Amino acid sequence: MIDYERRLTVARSQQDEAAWAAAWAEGRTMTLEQAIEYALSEEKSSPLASAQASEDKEPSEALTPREREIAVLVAQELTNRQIAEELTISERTVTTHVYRILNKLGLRSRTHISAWILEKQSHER
Amino acid sequence: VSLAGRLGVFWSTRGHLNEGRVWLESAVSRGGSAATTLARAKALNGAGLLAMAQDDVGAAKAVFEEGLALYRETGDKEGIAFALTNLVSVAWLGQRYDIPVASLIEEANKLKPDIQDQRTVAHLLLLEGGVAFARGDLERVVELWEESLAHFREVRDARGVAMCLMTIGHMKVAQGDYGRAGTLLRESLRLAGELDHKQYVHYCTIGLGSVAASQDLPSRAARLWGPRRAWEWHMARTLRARAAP
Repeated sequence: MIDYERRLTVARSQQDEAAWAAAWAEGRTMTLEQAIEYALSEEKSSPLASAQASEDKEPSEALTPREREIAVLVAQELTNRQIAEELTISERTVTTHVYRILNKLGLRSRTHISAWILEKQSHER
Repeated sequence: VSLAGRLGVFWSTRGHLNEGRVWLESAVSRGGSAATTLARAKALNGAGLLAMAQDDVGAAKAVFEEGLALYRETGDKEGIAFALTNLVSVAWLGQRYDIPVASLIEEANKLKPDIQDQRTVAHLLLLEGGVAFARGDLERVVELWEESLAHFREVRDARGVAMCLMTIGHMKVAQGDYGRAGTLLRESLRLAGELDHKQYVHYCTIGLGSVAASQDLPSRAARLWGPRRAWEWHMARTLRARAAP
């Protein structure tokens, strides 16, 4: 019911490929018990996470996670209405987010947001 | 057949899905006239739940339909209502548009005043929540599912409680209420762990992965989503093995 593939794509875009692949592989090899323990540990990290944690917590950009999520969707050429449907929020809320994204990044158009996302992703690869 | 039907929940909860399905299908086919229609209907419902747990949507649809037909023969309203909710869940989760959801829901709603069993009431509320979800009324969805949760808590149905907490948690993720989502999903995960319900564990960890992503913790999200992918791969392999001659 919830579009996790999109959330996954967004999270992946926030991190360099090697760190993502390492974390992903670590998750895949967890036993059920380890996965439960890790999921319930909240802020405690697995050994690999400890090394990564500080990197994760540093906001790489001025945008909030929701704003980054919306920026990625803007870059995928979705309209505000389509984004609203995708995120099950109102179109007006999306408009506000897009306005804030533009302000925070000092950009003037959706095309600029797309370019910014593409550039950010290319740097991370 | 009766014993196999009762064991259905155990197999489903503990993740012994293939084993459970083989037993249930064999029991239903060999039960013949010796087994009561009601026992066969219950066993078929159990087989359907196991098939759904394996994402074997086609098989689940077939056995739920057969089970529903048998429940109708017996006139067991509780059973009919439960079978209807199961069939609708196949339509929604399995995206089977050939299932006449509207008429099934209409039938379930007509039965509602006659339903006494709290578990069945809870399942019907989940169904009603699904209808609200389809029309995009997320607040109503949460209301209905919280009501369902209260019923499951009252009858101390841990599996039902875990399921409700998990579904409401996912709804909170959709609404962007990640704090509440995390609380609900962790409670569900604890229960699912105690029940050893592998499917729910994976649904909870995937939801918590979204919560982690919202907290700007992509590595944590990846670790939480990774096991679910491994589970999907395992399930696909299990189904292939089952289909092999």
